Formats: sequence, structure tokens, C-alpha cells
Amino acid sequence: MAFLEVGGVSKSFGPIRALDNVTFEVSKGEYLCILGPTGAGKTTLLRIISGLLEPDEGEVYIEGVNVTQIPPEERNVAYMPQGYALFPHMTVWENVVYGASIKGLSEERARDALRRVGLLHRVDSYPNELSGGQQQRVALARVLAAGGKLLLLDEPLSALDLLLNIELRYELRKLAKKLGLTVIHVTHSAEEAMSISDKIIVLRRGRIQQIGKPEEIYHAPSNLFVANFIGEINIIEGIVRDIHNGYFTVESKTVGILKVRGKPPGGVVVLGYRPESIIIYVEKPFYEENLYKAIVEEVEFHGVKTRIHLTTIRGLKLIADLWFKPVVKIRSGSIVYVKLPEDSAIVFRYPREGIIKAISLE
Amino acid sequence: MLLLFVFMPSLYLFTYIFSRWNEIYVTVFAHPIIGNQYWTEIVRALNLSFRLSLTTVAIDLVIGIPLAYLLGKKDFPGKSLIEDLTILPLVIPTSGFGFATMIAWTASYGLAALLGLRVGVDTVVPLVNIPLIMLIVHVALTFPYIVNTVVGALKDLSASFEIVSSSLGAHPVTTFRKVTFPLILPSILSGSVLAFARSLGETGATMIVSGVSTTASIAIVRWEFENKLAPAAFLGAILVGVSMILIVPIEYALGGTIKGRRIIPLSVESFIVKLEKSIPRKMSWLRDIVSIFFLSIIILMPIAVLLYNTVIYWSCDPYTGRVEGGILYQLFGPSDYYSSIVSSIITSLLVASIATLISALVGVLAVLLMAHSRFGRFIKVLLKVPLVVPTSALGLSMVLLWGPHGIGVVDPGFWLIVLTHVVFSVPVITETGMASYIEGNLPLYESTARTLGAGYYDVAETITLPLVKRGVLAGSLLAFTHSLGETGATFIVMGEHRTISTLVVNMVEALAIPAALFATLILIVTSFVLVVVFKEIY
Repeated sequence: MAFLEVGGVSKSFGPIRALDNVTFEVSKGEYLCILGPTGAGKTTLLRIISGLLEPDEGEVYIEGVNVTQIPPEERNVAYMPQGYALFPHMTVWENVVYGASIKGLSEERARDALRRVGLLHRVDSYPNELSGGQQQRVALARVLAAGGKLLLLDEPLSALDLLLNIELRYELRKLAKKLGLTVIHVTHSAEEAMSISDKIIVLRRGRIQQIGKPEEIYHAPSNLFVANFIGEINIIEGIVRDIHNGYFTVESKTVGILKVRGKPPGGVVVLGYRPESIIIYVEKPFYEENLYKAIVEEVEFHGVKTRIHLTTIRGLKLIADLWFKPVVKIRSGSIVYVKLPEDSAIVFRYPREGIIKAISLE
Repeated sequence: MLLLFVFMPSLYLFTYIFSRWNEIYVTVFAHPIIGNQYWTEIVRALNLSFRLSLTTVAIDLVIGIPLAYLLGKKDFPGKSLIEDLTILPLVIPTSGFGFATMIAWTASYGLAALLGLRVGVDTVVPLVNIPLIMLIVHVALTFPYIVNTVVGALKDLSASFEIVSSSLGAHPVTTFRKVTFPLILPSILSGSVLAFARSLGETGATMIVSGVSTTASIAIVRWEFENKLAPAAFLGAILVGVSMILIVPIEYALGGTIKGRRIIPLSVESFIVKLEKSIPRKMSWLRDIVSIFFLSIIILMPIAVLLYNTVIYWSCDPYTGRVEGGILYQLFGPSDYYSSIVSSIITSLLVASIATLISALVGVLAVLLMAHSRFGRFIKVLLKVPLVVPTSALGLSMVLLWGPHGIGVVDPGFWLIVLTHVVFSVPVITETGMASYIEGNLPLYESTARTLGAGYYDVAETITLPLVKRGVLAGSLLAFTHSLGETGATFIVMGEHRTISTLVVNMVEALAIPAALFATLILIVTSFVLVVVFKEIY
């Protein structure tokens, strides 16, 4: 049985449909990320699960019990906003024992929780005397001591600078797993979601776009929006010309003829290529299939990788990432040959509303 | 330098007392004829004042916090009207409001009479032994200080604390007691201090409803009229001292959160939590209804009764039918209150305009100084002083300092009124000016301008002044209404001149009730219009 079930939840604010028939499950101990751009309905969903909002339609079940009508304080669900909202006028100890004392649980739980996050020596400190990482650990201990099994995190790391974000992200997942918490973590950062979660739900305009493991979502996105939101992608549109032997060819105005593996989903298609799947040759190789001449516009050095901005002779702009140091120096103005490998294209049917609208974050 | 003129009067009373200690000691404690009669009276007046102010603040808190919760957390139709009603007592001429409250409660068809009670100015609240009407007036005039500061604090407080608390299992009442309340406690304290100081210094309304009881600030006005400067100065100094002792430490302590240890033992605590859990969640509407009910009784009802009375007294006394008891006869008849009302309105408008203009100029300089000098914080606290000093004590100080007994530059009369009003208007303007300085994030723009090559004076002229203009304007309007309605200090410094609010007191004392009705109505309508304009600007 799933630990949390959300079934057919919809919610409108006036004319705006914030959530539209959202259904999913989370199993015990799972770390789930809800990923989506601003205004996708992520926070609304979190508030419905926590009981702060009532859905217009649909139900929420926790451990098989329908909690849709139960007020937040009786759900055993801990909601943690950005920065964790540790009570500034209480010490670490008072913060952690808060929920336990209200629910009439023993203080030993609080002591135990603090021991497990390794902060038993800081019980008399106030939140503003702790580092960011320590505050996060106090917040987790507070949830644990209150008997919370489901932790809802609303953009917990968004206010932090990148280095601290990466550090706390790692610790958050490690501690949540160690403490056996089921976590739903809301974020708008695809990178954060991929690195921390067991499962990702991509939300857009109140609708679920895709549910899956990070790798699935990255390599097999269900639509153009997810493909673009989860990571950078080069988009080429074209018309299917020929199908045979598990391959099909696409004619595109901006590159020419392309050969792709798989079955075309329709007559007009959109092909997506991740920057790391594009191969660059400095000299014209032997094999000419899917090979296009291009001029280098800009070379960016990113440390672990080198990013190259290119324009093909027919005017298509591409980005490509090199993960090793090129033998021959590539500089802006160089002429190179770009290969779009036939088995690395992500293929979609051409969207009815057009590409720009299909990938728009609004 | 200019600011010195603002601080000096508040502190001058102490100088006065020290320099004439022997004379004062003899008069107050060892008078050859009446012995320590004055001291006895001072103690009696202070006793009443403190009982009154403390009870007032206690009731203010009970009414004010739920009301603030309603205004700070919820949206409902008619909210802006409720907001206007809570600003009104801050700008309403107190003597007029006192008069309205008095007739609302004592008239034969007033609320008390409807309930079958007989209430007069001599009706006393048991236990604390305070005249009932005086208490009602003080509550009505001071509760907005609590409401305003608490609403501000609630709006600044991030909603996440309450959300987290409820997700950890706390009932809304428990959340309020353990999380919200401690976090807004500093604001509650500073609001209480302001309310306490205002109640301690309230003169205009109190004079009208006082009957035979004498509060400290009324005693100052009476003694000054009888030219008994020694006891008046002594009592004034005590009031100023108390107000300053209250305001300065609390203003300095603010800014940090109040951190407290748990006082309630765990067993009692868990009992309380259980008790709170048993309160139905749907009870909150009751709290809202009750607070709106209080608001209408203490603010709306007096105004309504006043309107009603003006109408029925318009041509003649409704009970005897005599024309002499009507408003028209009193205004245009032999006593000719019409011309005194007109001339006092002109005086009031002139005083308010000149004082506000001067205060705005000084206020802008003060804002620049506070923003850019190292002593900014110190100046800010000092500028709070005229806001909390009892006005009659301030007026007395002005007379003693500038008048014939002191430097002898300005005699009581028009210009001394202006000068006195400048003293309490400057802090009002700097307050709103500074608020817009901080809220507008001005230091950021100023430093940006500096890096773009603007000098100190360029920055002040091109960045600071235009951006604090609205705040200063709003403050000026507030100061203007304040000046129109000021009674306590004006009474002492006015000499032969009359402002409209002091005229109301004179009329009530002369039992010219119909004329007082008319003058009060003018005052209240004017201040309500100004409230609306104020909200438009701010």
C-alpha cells in the first residue's frame, strides 16, 4: 500500500485553475520531488497535502486513511517552508520539543531526535546562532520529535547560494534516508530535483506532465516541455520523408536530411538533442551521414566541460558540450563538422500550439 | 541646532524645578498656610491618572489585539471602513470626541439609558474606582496605538511560523500563545507604552468628561490658569519623567526578539494545550464580531448620537420647545457663538498651516540627519519624547521657557501656540518620513547614486528628498490634523486666542451645549475627511 495517495485533486482560485486532476502515489521512505516552473501549482499541491488548503475535488489518503477533511494539526504531516521557519524566540531544545509537548509525546523523543541529527550539544542555542546546515538538522529533528512521518519541503534550499545549496542537498537526502522519513520536496530547479530525489513529478499549469525516475525524465521526457525544462536541449523541426529498417529520415529546413532511429510519432516531428550528445569534428570525417558544416560562434570554458555555440551553414543555432580537452584548439570563427548521432535524438510529434508555446514556462 | 528647539521644552521643566527648588519645595510641601495641601492633591491626581492609564491599557489590549488580528490577517467587505475607524481617534479633536462620548452615554436616550442604567460623569467603575465615562473616552482614544503597531507586526511576520506550528500539531489558539504572541510581543509593548503615555497626557476630552475628578494633566491646566506655577511645574516634571523612563528603554530594546525561558511547568502546559484543543475551530468569528461590536460602541455610537442631537437641537430645544435652547439661536443670537466659532476656526487653520509648514521643513532636515549621521538612532529616540510627553506638561514647559517667566521672547498667544504645535508635529513628520526612508530601501539607491558620481548634496536633492516626499506629505497631513485637534497644550499657551478645540471645552464649561454640538460636528467631519485624504496619499 502506498504511504500517500493523492487522487484526482483539483483546485481553482477564481478563474485560475491551480491544480487539475492531480493523481500520484508515494511509497514509504521515498524521496519525491515536485518540479515545475513558478506558478505551476507546486505550493498549492503541498498545501493541500498538508491540510492548509482544501481541494475543490479529489482526495488525499495517508496510510490508507482519507485525511481530506482533517485539519493540518491532526495529520502528522510536517510542512517546512523556505529557510525552515525555526521559531526565532525559542532555543533549539524548545523548537524540537515543541511538537512533542503539544501532542503529549515524551521529551525523550526530542532528545533522541537531536542525538540522531548530532546536535545534542547545541540545545541551548538560538536558531540565529546556528549555521545553515545546523538549522536544517534542527528542522528535521523537530519533525521527527513531533512524530511526523511525512515531510513536506517547500523550496527549502532556494534562498541559498549554490555551494551551500549543493552541500545541504546532499545532507538533506542522507539524513532523510537515515531517519526513515518520507519526503515531498518542491523545487523549480531541475538540477536540484534530479540530484536529490528517487522520483520526480513534473508539474505544469496544474497538470502532471510526467512521473518517473530522474534518468527516465532526462532521457525519455514525455513531451517537449519536460525535455526542455529538465535540461538544455537543441530543437530541430522537420517533416518525415522515409521509413525503413527501424530508421526514418527527416527533412529539416535548417539542417537538411537527418536520419533517426525509431518510429516517427507523426508526419511532422520535433527532434531534441542534448548538448552532450552532439559530436564535433575539426576535420571532415570519412562517414558523412547526419554530418553538417558549421561555424563556431563562441567558446565558453566551464571547467569540467567546454561549451561551444555553433551555427550551421543553413542557419541553425546549436550548443554542444565537450567533456574533454579538444586536441586541436577550437576558437570562434573556426569551421567544424557537427554530427547529430542517429540514436541520440529524442523525438516528439510536432505540438499543436507551436514549439515556443509548448516549451514556455508560463 | 533646530532640533534643539524640539527637545528643549520637554526637558526644560527639570531645569526650572532645579533652579527654583527652594521656592517650589516651600509651596508644595511646606506652605505656611495650607501646609502640604498641594502635595496631597498631586498624589491624589497622580494616583487617579495611573489607575486610569493602566486600566485603559489593559482594556486596550483586550480589545486591540483581536481587532488587530482581524485587520492584519483577514480580508472582508467593509475592512477599509474599520481601518478608517481605527485611525479616526488618532486625528479626531479630543475635546470634540470627549463631548460626543459624554452625550452618547449620559443623554436620556443614550446606550446606558436603553439598558436601564443611569450613567453620569460621576458614575464610577467599581474595583478600580475610575469614572466610567473617562475610562471609555481614554480607551477609545488610545486603542488605535495598539491596533496599529500590532497590525504592522502581524503583517511583517512571515506566515510560515504559523503554518509550521500547525503542521507540528498545534491548535490555532496554541499557535497564537506559543508562537505568534511572543514574536509580536515587542510591538505590543511599544504600542502599550504609546497608549499609556497618551492616556497619561490626555487633556482635551478628559476636561470635558471629568466632572469633579482631577487627573494629573487636568491639574496642570487648572493650576496654570490660577497662576500656581510651582505645583504645576512639579507635577509636570513628574509626568515628563515617567513618560521618558517608559519610552527610552523600550525603544532601545526593540529590534531583537524577546527570548524567554519556559515558566509554566510541563504538566500544566500539557493541560493548557488539551484545553485549547477543545476549543472549536469555528469560534473565531465570535472574536471578530465582538471586536467590531466594541469598535462601534466606543467610536461609532458617539458620532451617531452627536449627529442625531445636532439635528434635533437645530432650531429649538426638543424638550421644552424653547428657541433659546436651539443651535440657531445660540449661534446667531445674543451670545453670538457664530463669530467666535468662525474666528477660532480661522485661528486653528492658521496655526495648523504655519506649524505644519515649519515642521515639514525641520522634519525633512531631521530625516536627512537621522539617515546619515552617526547619532541617527539616538536622535530617533529623542524625537519620540515629544510624542509621549503629556501635552499639558509640554504646554506648561513652553510657557515657562519662552514666556514672561523664562526667556521672555514669546508671550502666550498665537505664536506660542504655533511654536508648541511645531514641537509635537516635527516628530510626527520624521516618523512617517523615516518609515518611507526605510521601506523604500533608500540606502541602496543612495549608494548607487554615490557610485555614479553624485555628491552628498546631489544625493539628498535628487534621490533622498523625492523618495521620502510622500512619507513627509502624509506625516504633514497627520501633523495638521493633530494640530487642529490639540487641546491640552494649547489651553496653556493660548493666552487670549482660541482654537476651535479649546473653544469646545469653553462652551461645554459654559453649558452652551447646542453650540458645542455644532462646533464638535464640524471638527469631526473635518477630521474624517482628512483621514480619507491621508489614506489616499499613504
